[in-house]
Amino acid sequence: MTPELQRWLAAGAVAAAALYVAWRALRAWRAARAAVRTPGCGPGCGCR
Amino acid sequence: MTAVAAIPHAAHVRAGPGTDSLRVALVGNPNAGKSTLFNALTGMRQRVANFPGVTVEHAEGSYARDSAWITVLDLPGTYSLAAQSPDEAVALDVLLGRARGVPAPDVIVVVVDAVNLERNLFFATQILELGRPTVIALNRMDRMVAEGTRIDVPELIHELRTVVIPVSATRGEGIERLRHAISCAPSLPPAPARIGLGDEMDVERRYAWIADVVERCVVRRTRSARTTSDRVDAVLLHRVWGPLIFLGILLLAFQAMFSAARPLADGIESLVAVAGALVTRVLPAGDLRSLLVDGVLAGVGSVLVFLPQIAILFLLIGLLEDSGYMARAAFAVDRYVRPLGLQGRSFVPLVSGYACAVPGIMATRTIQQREERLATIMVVPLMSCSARLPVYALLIAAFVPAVRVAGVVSLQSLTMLGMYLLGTVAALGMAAIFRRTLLRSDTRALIMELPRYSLPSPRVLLASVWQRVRIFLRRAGTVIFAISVLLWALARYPQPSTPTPPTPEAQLGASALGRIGHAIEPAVRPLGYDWKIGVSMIASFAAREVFVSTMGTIYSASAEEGGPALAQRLRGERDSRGRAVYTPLVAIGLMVFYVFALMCTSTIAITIRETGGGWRGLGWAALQFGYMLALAYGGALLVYRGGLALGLGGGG
Repeated sequence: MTPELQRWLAAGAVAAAALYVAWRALRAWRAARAAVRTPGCGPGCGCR
Repeated sequence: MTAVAAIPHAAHVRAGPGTDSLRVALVGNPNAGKSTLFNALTGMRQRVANFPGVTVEHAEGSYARDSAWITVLDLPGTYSLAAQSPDEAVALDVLLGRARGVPAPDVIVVVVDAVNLERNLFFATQILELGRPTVIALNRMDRMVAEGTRIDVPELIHELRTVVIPVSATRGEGIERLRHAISCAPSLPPAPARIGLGDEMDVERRYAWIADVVERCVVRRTRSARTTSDRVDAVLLHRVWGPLIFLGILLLAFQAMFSAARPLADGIESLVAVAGALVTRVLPAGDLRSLLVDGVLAGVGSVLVFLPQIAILFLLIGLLEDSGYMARAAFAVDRYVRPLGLQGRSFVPLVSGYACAVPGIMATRTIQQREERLATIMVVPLMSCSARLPVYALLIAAFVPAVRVAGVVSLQSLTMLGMYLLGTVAALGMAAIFRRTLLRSDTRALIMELPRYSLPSPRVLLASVWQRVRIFLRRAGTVIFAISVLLWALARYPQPSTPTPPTPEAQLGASALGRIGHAIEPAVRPLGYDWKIGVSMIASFAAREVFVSTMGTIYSASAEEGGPALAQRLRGERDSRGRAVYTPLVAIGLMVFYVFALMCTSTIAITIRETGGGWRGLGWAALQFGYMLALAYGGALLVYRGGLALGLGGGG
């Protein structure tokens, strides 16, 4: 395997990892935003 | 007369072919054995889900019988129909068909703990008054027999005017008869309102009626004899011995964790090393080889090494919980935590926090008082969760000598116990502060049922350990893997343009990671840390274990290929003046930082949700994150600076 091919494969792996981390961050952000927008079942939520 | 004989003419009712389906709700007091019975009924074919619109979890499972498909819902444990906690409110709504998107059950099965018949019948009689098809599963009959007590089941059927099936969920006895009774229940005429206690709130009349029924139905041979359980409780709940025994058990657990896990951890380390050697042999030098060896294997591999310790920790926690000890530990410490404004009931979520803060915070739903529940939520993440374990274990293995104190207890286990105690004491202290400032209210006396001692089922134990191991492996294979790849790229590029190949250390210093690290170094320098620790700390805000994987990646990138294990590299790390970067003082300070810091997005999200959601929830979560960060930085600073002032040495 040539160094050039190795570089391309490594770059692809890094790009995929970056996309994955970005997707996870987006998901966490959306979950936090949803938690902020919708009252949950907590003290004082009135569900009792 | 058997219990089944009380339901004549019913066996044929649902025997016809077709696609009949029945929805069955399992209800009962907490610890009545509902979940065990649920597993016995459904053969553990279950899924765990939330009810629509609320965040109360329940298990749903099913089984087939006589061409009918029976769906079983395991509802949260409830003491009475006067719902006091969110869990109880949801159970009640489901029973009454008021829960959004959840049809009312066709049959209600009330699981009654035969050993605590009087208290369990309180709730059972309330359910019977709903006038719905109801079957009573009289659980733990085997225990009654073992204790020399007998229940006159026909008399109980006569008094309650409903079907009563004696079962032993743990042994699987009576399950088939219970399934039969469930299938027949919808066809039976509703029980006449025999009890007729009228007003739901008339607690005294209800108890008087139940006491009368119990007097007639329960035949005790050894009425006043102290059981073995009582004798064991006298020791475990003792005001002095109780907490001491708890500490001793924790210490033993950590010792077992260190010693038993070592061979397995060594095995995983060897496997990682073999994989690295294999990649090095197959691939020529280049970016992909470096990515696999210095990024993935060094990063993910350094975290995977801690898998055996985590599995053993969960096995021990499961053993303590399932044997009935954990509830006693809560009782034993109740008298000590009450002055702090918490009750023993808060202790159960706190102990759950040893595994993970998320279920710990969820478990606060059993606390009825708002202020007490909020205070508990705020401090649960201070309990050392399993994600901190790799950080402690790495630093302890590297810097705490493997010697024995007084020839018995290993110093490493003692240090680990110290970290867990520090988190626990901080949690109690912070709770006391919250309860005296923002969250003031009276502390209620603890009324908690002590579950019977029982031999934990190996199958259930192994299932829970496997679940945690799977979560750990998934994290290692996803987030930690991806972050390791990114950190490898940041640690490798840009490369310095020198005529000769740079040394690994020079290349790391010139890389993006090196530059970021040097930029944040002033913030962590007062704590005695260099830029490598600083970068690892920042990265671990994604997940605590990332600290270990980042250290793995950084130290792999800064060394020649095939170097020693991470702990050895840390011990050998020297600064530009040849002094040891990691001294025991730095390591202890670092561990203290990890004891206090809240580095878990899941915990932040669950805190927002469980403190009421909305901006109010966000406010509580922000307060939690902020005070924990302040504690972490302050604590680490105090340890390092205090240690230096005492001449304990920080620069080696």
